[in-house]
Amino acid sequence: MEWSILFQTLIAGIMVGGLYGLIGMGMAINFGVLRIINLAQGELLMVGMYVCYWLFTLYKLDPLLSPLITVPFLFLLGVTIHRFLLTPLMRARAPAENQILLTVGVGLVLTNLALLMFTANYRSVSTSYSTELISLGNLSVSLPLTLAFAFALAISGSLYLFLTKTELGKAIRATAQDPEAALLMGVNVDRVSVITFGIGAALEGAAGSLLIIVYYLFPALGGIFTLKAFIVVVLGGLGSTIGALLGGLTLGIAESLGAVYVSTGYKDAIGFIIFVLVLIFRPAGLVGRARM
Amino acid sequence: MLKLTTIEVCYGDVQALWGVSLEVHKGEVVALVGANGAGKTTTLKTISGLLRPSSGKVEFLGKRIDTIPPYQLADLGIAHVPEGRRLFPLMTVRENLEMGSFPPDAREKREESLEWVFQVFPILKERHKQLAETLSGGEQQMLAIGRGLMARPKLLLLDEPSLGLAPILVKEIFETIKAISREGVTLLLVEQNVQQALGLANRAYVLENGRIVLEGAGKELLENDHVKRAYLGL
Repeated sequence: MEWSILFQTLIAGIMVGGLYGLIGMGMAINFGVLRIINLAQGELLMVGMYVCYWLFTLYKLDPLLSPLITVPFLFLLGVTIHRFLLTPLMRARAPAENQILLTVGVGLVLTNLALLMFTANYRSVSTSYSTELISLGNLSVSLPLTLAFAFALAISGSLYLFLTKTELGKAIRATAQDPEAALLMGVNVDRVSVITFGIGAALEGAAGSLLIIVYYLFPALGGIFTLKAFIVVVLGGLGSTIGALLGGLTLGIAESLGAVYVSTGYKDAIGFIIFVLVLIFRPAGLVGRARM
Repeated sequence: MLKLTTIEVCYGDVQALWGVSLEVHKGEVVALVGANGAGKTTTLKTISGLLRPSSGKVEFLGKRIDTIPPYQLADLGIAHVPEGRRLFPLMTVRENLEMGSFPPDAREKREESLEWVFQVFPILKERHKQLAETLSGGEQQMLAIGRGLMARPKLLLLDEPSLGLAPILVKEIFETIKAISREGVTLLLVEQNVQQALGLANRAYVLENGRIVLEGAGKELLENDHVKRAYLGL
């Protein structure tokens, strides 16, 4: 019986970790190219979740189909933020910390807009499969969590293929590794930067569609997930998308083990303890410098 | 083919180039030599659009290029192999070469160009799956030049291709540069290795403190007293 609890905990941790990984990937790809941490990443996730929530509530659109809308919507939102807020700062050669502060501001505005428009109420969607369980022997796993995990892996895989197989994907990686050299190859580096920010936001749109079927939604949720994304990205080695997935799994497993074997109250604290330990013993992240 | 007219370039308050004029004709190998900090790299960066002149103009194939966005220059036929190689360290050899053929025109000839580069540098074919950062210094330089060739350039700018290489490799790199020139690529070569560069070049310019102080045929400059004293230690 002991063992089945452990397995159950590990499986749940891995599945939540896959979602964390997807949330972190948006931040990782942005950091890789723009060299700044976007601290509005969690708030973009929150926006994605609200879009998904209203699509479900008003039009009965299944959250698992909603990426068809949340992904392009968040992409455009990301591109708009870059074009009208970040680009002027970059043109003025503002220091990186000012650009990061700007993203904090964007996050605050998004949170308060959501508060204003949708109140502070907690919301959730209940789909036909919301409470279903999959049983494997004496293990049982939540069906929505399993679905969310499978979709998160599929989206991560697509991102990987995009970055390694397409011209635009390779241009993004080249820009992350040496922007000046990429420019000499004929890459329009400014455009790549805008598109990358859009993709980083679009990934939160996809993650939001998955998170809403296993979690609840409220305006201040962004800050919590920005922090988690940050941990995930640092664990994975700044800027590495594969690393982000690994970082996500680590955080998910640690939280899940902590919740079961220590106390649910310490769940978040355990995440931070792992974070500090990795920073002390593997300061370059779990996978080192495998940038994108 | 390439013409710089009284170019002045500043880094903030510091002026690096003072009225530099030079020309490269089709099919030539032109060397730009000089000491550290003379402005050689600055000149190349100005040609490839990484730096903007504060006055003067740069023309390529009769078209002014110092006003168009730098990412468009690769498609016009200028490839710049930068100082320090500037490879994409976490991409494979093959991916680095593919990035060289990123401009639309070059992309169409990618497979053909790959074969050409692999023929010029067989070692790159052997190592095509390796990450660029795992190559030796000499191999990295070959990859940097190969990446430049992938653009099918009309004009290839080479910045210090022999820097940091063992003497035997330096010889090999210069042999390769000769071979590339024979294939019809026009070359503008920046070098600290004055002897080798002048021996190879049809024409050369000597740059000192941001000014062109001498120009002439490569062999002629090798015999010049000032060049002998200042650069060849004779």
